[in-house]
Parts: sequence; structure tokens; C-alpha cells
Amino acid sequence: MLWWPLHVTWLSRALALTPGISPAEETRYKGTHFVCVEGSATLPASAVNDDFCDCEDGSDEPGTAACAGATDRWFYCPNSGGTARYIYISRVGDGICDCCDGSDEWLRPDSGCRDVCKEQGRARKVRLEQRRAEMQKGILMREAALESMRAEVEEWRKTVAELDANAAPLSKEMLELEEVQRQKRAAVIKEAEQLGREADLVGQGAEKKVSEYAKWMEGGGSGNTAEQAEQVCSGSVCIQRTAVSRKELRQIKVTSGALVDFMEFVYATGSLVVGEGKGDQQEPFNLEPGEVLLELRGGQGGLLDRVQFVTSRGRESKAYGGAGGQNFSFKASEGKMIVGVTRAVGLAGKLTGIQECLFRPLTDAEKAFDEASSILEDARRQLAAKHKETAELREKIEAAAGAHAAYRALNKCGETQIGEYSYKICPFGEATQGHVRLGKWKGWASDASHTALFEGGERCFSGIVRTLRVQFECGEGYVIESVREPSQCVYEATMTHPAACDAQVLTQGDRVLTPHEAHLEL
Amino acid sequence: MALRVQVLLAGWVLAWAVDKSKFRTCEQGSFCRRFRKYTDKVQQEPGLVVHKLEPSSVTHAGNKVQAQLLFANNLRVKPLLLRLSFFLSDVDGSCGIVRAFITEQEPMHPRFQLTEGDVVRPEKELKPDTVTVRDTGGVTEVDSTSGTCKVQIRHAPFELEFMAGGQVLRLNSRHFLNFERYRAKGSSREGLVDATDVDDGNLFEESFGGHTDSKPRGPAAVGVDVTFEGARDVFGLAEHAAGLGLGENRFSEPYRFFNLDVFEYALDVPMALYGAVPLVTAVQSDGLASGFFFPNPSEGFVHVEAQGKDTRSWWLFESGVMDMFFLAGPGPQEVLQRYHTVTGFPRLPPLAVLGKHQSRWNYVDVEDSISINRKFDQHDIPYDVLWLDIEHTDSKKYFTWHPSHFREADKLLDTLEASKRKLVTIIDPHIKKDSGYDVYKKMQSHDFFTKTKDKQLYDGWCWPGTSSYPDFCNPEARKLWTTFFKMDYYPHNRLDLYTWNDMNEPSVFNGPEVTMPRDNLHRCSESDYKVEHRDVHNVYGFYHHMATVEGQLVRAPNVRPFVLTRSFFAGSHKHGAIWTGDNMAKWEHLAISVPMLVSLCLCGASFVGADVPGFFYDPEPELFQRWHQLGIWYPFYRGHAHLDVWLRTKRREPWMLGEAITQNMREQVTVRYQMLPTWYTLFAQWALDGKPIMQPLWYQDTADAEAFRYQNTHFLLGDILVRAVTKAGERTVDVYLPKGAWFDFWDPQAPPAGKLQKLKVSPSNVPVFVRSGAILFKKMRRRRSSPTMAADPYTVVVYGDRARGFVYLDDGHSHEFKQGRFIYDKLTFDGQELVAEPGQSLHAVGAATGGLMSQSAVIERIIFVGLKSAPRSTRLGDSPTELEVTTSPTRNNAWVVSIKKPQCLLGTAWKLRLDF
Repeated sequence: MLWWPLHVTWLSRALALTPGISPAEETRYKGTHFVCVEGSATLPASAVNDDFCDCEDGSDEPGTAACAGATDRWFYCPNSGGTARYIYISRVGDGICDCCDGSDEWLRPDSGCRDVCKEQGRARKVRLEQRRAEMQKGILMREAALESMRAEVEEWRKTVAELDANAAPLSKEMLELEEVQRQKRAAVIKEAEQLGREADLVGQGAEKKVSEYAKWMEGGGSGNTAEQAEQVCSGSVCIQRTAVSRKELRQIKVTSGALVDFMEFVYATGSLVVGEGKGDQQEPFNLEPGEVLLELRGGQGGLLDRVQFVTSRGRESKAYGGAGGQNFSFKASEGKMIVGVTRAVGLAGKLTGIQECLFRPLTDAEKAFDEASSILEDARRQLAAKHKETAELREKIEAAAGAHAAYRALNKCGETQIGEYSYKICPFGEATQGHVRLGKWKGWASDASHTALFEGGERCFSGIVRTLRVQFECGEGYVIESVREPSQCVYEATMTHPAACDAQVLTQGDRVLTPHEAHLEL
Repeated sequence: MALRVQVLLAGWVLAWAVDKSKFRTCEQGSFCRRFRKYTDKVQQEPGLVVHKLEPSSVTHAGNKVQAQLLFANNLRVKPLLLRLSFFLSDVDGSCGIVRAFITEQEPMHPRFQLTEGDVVRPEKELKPDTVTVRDTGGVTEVDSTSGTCKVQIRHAPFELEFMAGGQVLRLNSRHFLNFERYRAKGSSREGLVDATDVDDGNLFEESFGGHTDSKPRGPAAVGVDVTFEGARDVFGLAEHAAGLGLGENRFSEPYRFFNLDVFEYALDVPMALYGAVPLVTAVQSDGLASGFFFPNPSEGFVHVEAQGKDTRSWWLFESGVMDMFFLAGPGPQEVLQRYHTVTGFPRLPPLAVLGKHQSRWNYVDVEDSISINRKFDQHDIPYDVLWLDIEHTDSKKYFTWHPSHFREADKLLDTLEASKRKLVTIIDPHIKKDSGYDVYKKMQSHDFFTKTKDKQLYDGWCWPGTSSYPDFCNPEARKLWTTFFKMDYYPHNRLDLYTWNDMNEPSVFNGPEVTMPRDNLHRCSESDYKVEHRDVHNVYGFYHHMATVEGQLVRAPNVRPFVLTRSFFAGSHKHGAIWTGDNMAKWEHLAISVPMLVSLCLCGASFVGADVPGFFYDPEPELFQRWHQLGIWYPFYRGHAHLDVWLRTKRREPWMLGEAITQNMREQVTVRYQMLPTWYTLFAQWALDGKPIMQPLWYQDTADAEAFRYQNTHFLLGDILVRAVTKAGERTVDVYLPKGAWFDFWDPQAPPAGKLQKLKVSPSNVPVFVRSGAILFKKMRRRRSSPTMAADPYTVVVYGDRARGFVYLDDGHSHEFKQGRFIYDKLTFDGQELVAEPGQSLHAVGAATGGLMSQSAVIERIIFVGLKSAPRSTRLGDSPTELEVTTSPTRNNAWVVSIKKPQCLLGTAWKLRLDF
């Protein structure tokens, strides 16, 4: 069948309006002549909607697709009985029913479009009412929550004021304790300097670096003076050792890549070198005067791949080497410190393991300093705890005034089975898909409202770390409505949450939808 | 999509080029190495005679001449058989097709020959050209009785000369003919007979890249030289990522034919790629053209070089027979018509697949796919076909759907159908070895899989893990394959679900050169597994593609199939579309796409495209835009992208790069759709008349020496000229406009131009010009997909004051056009009258009879561009009614005249008269 152009028969459909125009534009299309919107031409009224594009701006064809390739105009569907909306003029007369009243196919009676606006309108009204009722409940929940939160905020403010008042005497006490500690430290430094001079006097050939590695490789011990026997344990194996030195450890240098290749213990005088490998030189770990090494720990598989030091200050060095887990640890017992390594094993210049550490007892000055330090530490911890409490309260007070306050007040997780997976999303917590973590709470998205970000989920097989973006929608319950994975391991979810129920959500849905918003239609 | 294992194994090594060491060079394969030594020896000893024709053996009947070729150095060696057959062009009935066939008599193993009708049409379907034969003393002369075509055979040494019109092709004039006969292992050499006498290394076994080829049958290579007299250069030999002029490229290494899945292929090299069409068109300095076609599906090497005024070449294949075709001109168009006479005319695709295709590895699930479809609608950007790559399947088992992600495939198909769009799913050749997988079970129970050299089931490694490879060479296996496309077999199947054949070189991740071992066995048309993979390697993808197309025809005989393939061979144009595989989002890849696609078109395959904007890597926004601006002028226009893990690519749908680019995409894709009536006409003239769609600049005037210099510009059938913008930040470009006046497609008010232009380029489009004298047919209204344009009226644009053009239309999807149910009109304009003459003829289907169409035939507007003056009045035929006319002056005091609703229809005769 050949398709023949239809003559302008639409008037017979008794349409009051010119097809495609909204009531607001109606006056422009009345009269015997039509002037193109941009004024490029004046046309007889018969040229309007005659299925031929006369105006450059396409305004003479608001109701046909004749100008569809040339302009981006919209067609107005009156959808009487339903909801009016705009569609692209490219949809007009293409054989697909886009407007519920079928008005977009007015030129194509063969397209079989029925007017379904009334049915759709009724169904929509029911849905809208349900939705509205649900939203109302959500709004009430949100407002109640905000109200009770306001009372709570008052409480918090009071607590903060009290905490601030208490903080002043604590700070003063702290200064005193710091002074005590300073004095004890000075004593330790003095003692160490004397010992250093003694060591210098004794000499012991310690000016140059001694590679004791070769000797250790053969399984022999170092030539330190024995003082007393000690037992040190590595994992579940304990080794009897008999060596203590009076060396003052100042610095540890480690050379490592994926493996620990080389360690150098630097003393007030001389140094001890363990290993010969050629990794990258790392930032050295310095011990402050009076600070002593209490723990040496690390991991070893076939080769030594990780080492880390802990001091009397509770300070930890960075982890030198690769990612190996912790599987050995040498700890100084009460009143002792680590000053080096006495037995290590290796292979082809690489360290494969540490078997024995070098310990020595603390001096009286060191013990006194240690004591003062730990009293100070306790005091600091107390003060910090108070500061933290204050800061947390302040944050809560601030959050209660912010845009997302209601989420704190109404904080609950959503848990829903979708398809084969059970999803759980906890605002301010974490989100999971079955046993797989999709991410931990990161914060609110800056580019959209009521949208939260979860990051640092489990790594995918492909190496990507899972992330999740959650769009909260107004609802009475906490229901995960959809979860998508738009690209691998990047998830997007929508979840209902009463905190998303601003009163203004009710005012939406009354304007005429544009062509971009087809998906918003209820 | 390409093999990615190398990347996984190599960790962080993301080299920006192919690992060339993975692929064999001429020197690294023993048959090519010894052929080169053989040709060196022959050239060093000018008096040497290896082959001679025995005059007493010449017999002649009708269009056939037969003779024996003896081995001069050892007459005890069984002679070769030479058979010449002469045929006429199907299109114009003129002489100029000569088939020269050489094989060994009584070979120890059968020498593989392609089944008649698969690549080359059965001889009984061709029109014979009766010849006369004369012996003129040392020379046998064979003359066509229907024209000036003839062949002269010099007896000793054997040489053959083909002449037609002014064109001369010489076979074996350099005496490179090498025909290695099958022999028993350890048999002794007897004088100089073939290349194995010069180098006998690796005759029965050779290794490459840790794989050993057992070569149980020993050497079997066939090679010969071909000289194109007076040819400035030769063109064709698709597929190589190289310049158009095969001699001009000046590669010392020969062009290689061995279909491979090359990861991140290199440019400007003669390395093998995914497909092979061993056809060249030679163009002489005087503009005459001729062709040479050597359809051997084993590994091939073709060396091309300019030598004085001639272009010379040699052609070498690993096994099989010498089955060669000389194709006369006089122009390149006639060469191609003769090529289509021999191999068959292309398949006319359904109209919808000329629209935009949207693909990605991978749209994740039904909802993701539906949201892509919705976003096209939200942005008012037309497209027709959504593509699903391998991840849509259940564990890479083709003909299945992912159990959760695509469980609701019908929902997606319904959504697409509602906007009158289509879906493509991927169906690769490797079949997951899984006893619970029905396709595997069926293929296995019929014993239709390829075997190892020991006749055991061959297992290779590909996407699904361990896989078997159907013996597509076996017609029975192909027949079983077709049943998988039946409505009741493939879940969610429907008539507008189309297919994509990828990885069909075949790609085997753990095989030599990422393909199947050459000593694997096929049955093909034999009774047992007797055919070595080496014999048929280059037709594996061809047959996979063919079987898939036949599957769609089994599903619905009167619905035109659409199948895209990556691997191909000569003749694949009969099946469907081809794309240039896994390219990269790099400017160099944009640039090479033009000569690569033109080269395919010169090899008979015009339904071709390159992935826009490059498969690997993320394109910069400018490259993204420039490539789409070019892509709308590719015959096959598909947006595609690599997976978003491993070599990650970001989402790159048209709206992903900001509002300005989205707007430009909307406009440019709209232009593609507005031009669909012209595109469809181009496709009809290709499929039904043998005219290539993308043409090099010299195609319309082969004597125009200057036109050979430009590879960044292509014609669409001679009337539309498209200049790619191939560099970042390019603001001005040179455009070479051949003879005649040219109108700016984008600006009808611009004065016509000619010759070399330095042009300011617009950021919104690539330069496009229309020849003065052309008539284009458009549908101006943007719609969401091509089927929704069916009822839209036409706009006819007449360029210049003398013009001629054609328009083709039919129902767009069925085979009714074969019964003449189509419209094919010629429009001519003499400056005063535009005359429409319906019922024109196309070679393959005869004259148009119209009728049975669901498409509009109404012309809503006729535009004349570049009239010297504006008409006083305009009337259709004898009608007293004056038509409504809008005129506007151009910048050189000519006129653009637009006639509103001229009340005429395509498919009818009418005259439009302009009075000045």
C-alpha cells in the first residue's frame, strides 16, 4: 500500500486547539496569518500544521514532525482526563502512540492509537493517592524525629558546656606532668652521653660498620658479653639465648622493596648491619632520646617480607617491606629493651628470617623516665577522650542543624531481597550484597540531594574496589527498591527512607513533564 | 573483541602496539622462506627453464583449453595440468574473465579445492566465452570469439599473457612458478623442479612460538609471479592496516594472508589481520584497469612492487591448487562487476541496519540495556540496533542468556520492539566443552567438531575456557548450526534478533599465533577427516558467517538476514557486514580506517565499517566527535567499546561528554538518518549492480594522477566526497576535489568549488561535498529509528543545472524485491525540466515493477542548488496550478530554489517544469 499524504482533516475531530501547542501559545495560532516565532516569515493560516516545514524555527508545524530534523521543538499532549505533557516532535506521526490521548498520531488514523488517558489518569490518581499517603506518613515521621532531636540537641549543648569547663584544670595538670617527664628525659640523655663516651674510650672497633651477617649465616652468635640467660619467643617456638649488650640504639635503617633486604642498627657509636640485599633505601626510623625499642615484629614466608618496630612510647615504625602478614614478634620483657638482632638467616644476600634479638635491661634513669612517660600518657589519653567526646557532640549538634539531620534521627538499615541477592544498606554504616561488602559509608554526594556514597567495598575479581551510590526517596519504610550495576563493580541503588520526605515532595508532579522526563511519569 | 590474555599474563605491560614476535613473517615460515630463495635463484640464472608447455598436449573445447606443463629439468616428474576457461561478464556480456587453473596430476594426497559455489560460483552458472586456439610456433594463442580478449601462452619457458582492450597481465614472466608436489618423507630431490630443491629445511616439521606443526604431508606450496603492464599501482588485498596503494606502501615484506586475532594491531605494516580477499585491481597510467584474483584459502603471501612502468607481484600459498582469475576492465568498475560475476553479487541488507548501531562490551543486564535505549529517546538521538557482547550469555555458551542479568530478555526485546528497534547478540564459533550444553552435545554427537592431527576431538581455549570448534567447512555441520537459530531453539528468539560473529579466524588463546594448529583436521565435503586446517584456515570465518546467515534464513526465509563478521574471505560479501576488528581510540586508527574500508570496498565488500570511536582506550572528546562525524559516512556505522575492566574504557554513549557534544551527536546522527534514502540506493546499486559504495578519489577518473595521493578522502559512489579530519586540533585541511564543480553539503549557499582547496574546518562536521550534477534523496524528519521513518515523505536535492540521479526503495526487510517489487527511478534535470523515469533496471533483479510496499513514496520538497536564475513559475506536468516556491540567493549570485509539495510520487513518471 502506498502511503498518500493526508489532507488536513483534523478539524473533523473537533479539536478546539491547534494540535501540538499548549494553551499558553494558543493566541499566536489564531487569525488569518501566522508569523514565525522568530519572525522569519509571515504565512497564511493554512500553512500551520500543513505537514510542511515553512518557518526556519519550525513554529508553523507545532503539531507535525515536518520540522523534526531542523528544530528541537516539543509537541504538547493535552491528555485530557490524564496529565498533559510534552514530547519531541520527532515522535509525531511515527506510528507509535506516545500521548495517552493518541494526539501525537492525529495525522495517522491507521496507527490505531486509543485514548487511554482516562484509564491511565484513574490508575495514576490511585497511585498518586497511595504515594501521597505514604509520603504524608514519612513527612510526619521525619518531623517527629526532628522535633525529638531538637530536645536532644539541648541536652548535648549542656554536656558540651560542662566538658569545656572540666577541661581547664586537666590541661594545667598536664603541663606539670610534662615538666616531670622533661626532667627524667634529661637524666637519661645525660647517662647515655656518659655511656657513649665510655664506649668511645673502650673502642671495641665499633667506628666502622661491621658486617656480622656472614658470621650469622654460618649459624654462629655474635661476640657479646653474656650477662644472663633469657628466653625469647617467636610464634610458638621459644629460643634460649645468652647475649646482652649495652648499646644505645639511635636509629634503624631499612632497605626494602617487596622484601626486607637489609637492616642497619645505628648506635651512639657504630652500627650493626644485617643483610646484604639491594632494595630501596627507606626513610630511617629514629628513636628519640630515652625512647627504647620494645618490640620487633614482622612476617616471613620463604623470605623476610615485612618488619616493623614498636617503641616504649607506643610509637610504631612504618611497615618495611611487602604485604606479608605478621607471624613473628620479639617483645622485650618488663624492664628490658631490644637493641639489635643476634641471629638472622638468609639466602643469596636476602634475609629470610630473624631468629634472635639482642636485649638489654633498662637503667634506673631509663626506668624513671619510662614511668613518668606512662603517667603523662595516661593523662593525655584522658584529656583526648574528653576532647573527642566534645568534638563528637559538636558534630552531632552541627549535623542536627544540617540538611541530612533526619537521617541520623531515623537511622535504620534497609534490607531487601532482589533477584538472587539479599541487599542490606545501613546509612552511616556499610552496605552489603549477600556476604559481599559493597562499601563503607563515605558521606553525602555533593552533586545530588538525598544521595549517599559508600566506598571501599570488597575488591572485585577484576581488581576494582566496589562502590555504591544510594538515592533515597521519600517513603514510610526502609525499602531497597532497586540495585543496579551500571559498570562492573559500580553499584547504584534506590532506597525509601522517611528522612527523604521533605514537605516539598508533595508539591512535585503537578507540572507538565518535558520529553526528557518520560521515565518520571507515574 | 580481542584476546586479552596477553595483558593478564604480562601484568602491567600495556604496550601500545601488537607484539609482532607472536606472528610469523615470511622468513619464519619455511614455505615462504624457500620460495624467496627459489625466486633469487631463478633471477640469478636468466636462462633457466623450469616449466614448459607441451604443445601436443593442448586440447580445446568450447570455452576451455587444457594442456600439460612439463618439468624441463626432470621429465620423469609427473606434469602439471593447466586449464583455461573463458567467461563473459554477467553485467554487460562482454569478454574478459579467464580462469587459469593449475594443479598436479594424481597427487599423493588430494589437493584441497574449495567446493564449487561456496566462494566461486559453479561454472555452469557462468556464461561461457567460446574461444579459438592457434599454435604460432612456440606460442599458443587463445582468442575470445566475442571480443578483443585473448591469452597467449609461450611454451618454453612457460609464460602466459592475458590481454583485453589495452590491458596486459603477465603470469610467470619472471618464471617464479613453483608447484611443490606432495611426496613421501625422505624421497630424494631430482634436479631443479620446485623450491624444495633450493631449501629443504623444515619440509616435514617446523616450530614457531613454542608450537610444532607436524606437517605429515610435507611441502605443498604454490606460487607464481604476476606482472601488471603499465600499471601505476595495484589496490585491494584486504585486509591490511596499510595505505591504499599496495606498491606505493613499499613494504619489503610481502602482504600476509592468515586470518588472525591480532591484539592491538599495528598500522602501516603488511601483517595479516582478520580476513583475506586475494584480489587486486591494477590501474594503468592511461586509466585502464584490470584485476587478478587468486582464491586460495591457505596461508598466503603477496609481494607487490613498482618496477619501471609496471607493477609486479608474486603470490604464494602454503597448499591447495592454483585457481586464478584474470579480470578485464576497462575501468575498475567493470573489474569489480567481473569479480561479482565470478563470486556472486552481494546480499542486500535490511534497511534498518543502515542506521546507527550501539554496542559495548558489555551492556550489563536487561535494565542497563533498557536504560541505554531510554536515554537515546530522552536525548532524541536516533538509533536502530542495540548490541549484546559475550557477557550476555550464560558462561559464554552462545544461544543462551545470562541466568540473572538477562533472565528477562523478553522485556528488553519488547522495549526495543516498541520503539521499532532491533537487537544483535553475539554468536562466536568456539563451543564451550560442557556436557550439559546442548549445542556442544548436538555438535559432538554428530561428530562435527574439528579434530587434532590424530583424529581426536580438538580442544582449544577461548572465552568459555576449554572449547571445541565446529568444522564449519563441513556442509552437514553448517546445516546443524542453522537449526540453532530456529524459533523454538534459541530462547527469546524473534525475527528482528540479529547476529554478530566474532573470534572466527578462529581465535584460540592457547594455539599457535592465537589460532588453530595447521595440522588439525576437517572433514569439509569429504567422507572422513582428511582436510588439514592449513588448507582451509582462511575460510573458517567465511563458513561460520555463511552458516549463521543460513541459520537466519532457516528461521525466516523471507526476512533479510543481518550478520556481522570479523573474519572473512573472498565472497563474504554474499553473507553480510564486516568490520575492521579491534582498533584503538587513537587518531592514527581513525585515519587508517578510510583506506582500510575503501580497500574492502574495492574487494567487493562494501557493507563495512570501523568501530567508532576506536575499541581500545578512551577517546579524547575531540577524537570522539571527529570519529562520529566520519562514522556517519561509513556504510556500517557502529559505536562500540572495550570492556570496562582490564583495559578499562569509560561509557561513551552519545550523551556522555557534555551537552555541546551531545547536541553535535544529535545533529550528525540525524544527518545519517536524513541520508538513509541515498544510503539505501547506494546499497542497492552495490548489491544488485556491483558498484562499490566507498570509493577512492581516483575511482571516477583513473587518469587523474593527483587523485591517487589522497587517502583521507572517500567518495560515496562518486557523487559525495567525504574528507576525514584525522588530526587533533586541525583547523584547516587540504581537500582535493576532482574534475567538476562541487557544492558544500553543509552550506548550499556556498559557491561551488573545484581542485585543491585549503579549507577551514567546522568543529561540527567533517568536510563533505556533492558533485554538481548529482541528485540526492533524503528524508528530513528526525525519528527515533529507521522503521518509524517509513511514512515520511522525501526531499529531492538537485545539484547544478544539469543533473542525474537514481533512487531505490522497497519494503526494507523482505526478499520481495527479487520479484521486482521495488521502485527504481531515474531523475534527470536539463536546466528546465526535472524528469522522473520509473521502472529502471538493476543487474541482479531486472526492472522495477513497484508495488507491495509499506514505505511512503511522496515527495514533499524538491530543492535545486546552484541555479543560474530563479524560476518565474513552476508546474508539475500539464497542471495549471503553480507550485509554491521559495528562493534564496547563494554567495555567488546563483539560487537555491525550494518547491513545496510538488504533488509527485516516486515510482511514477512525472515532469517538473521550471520557467525562467
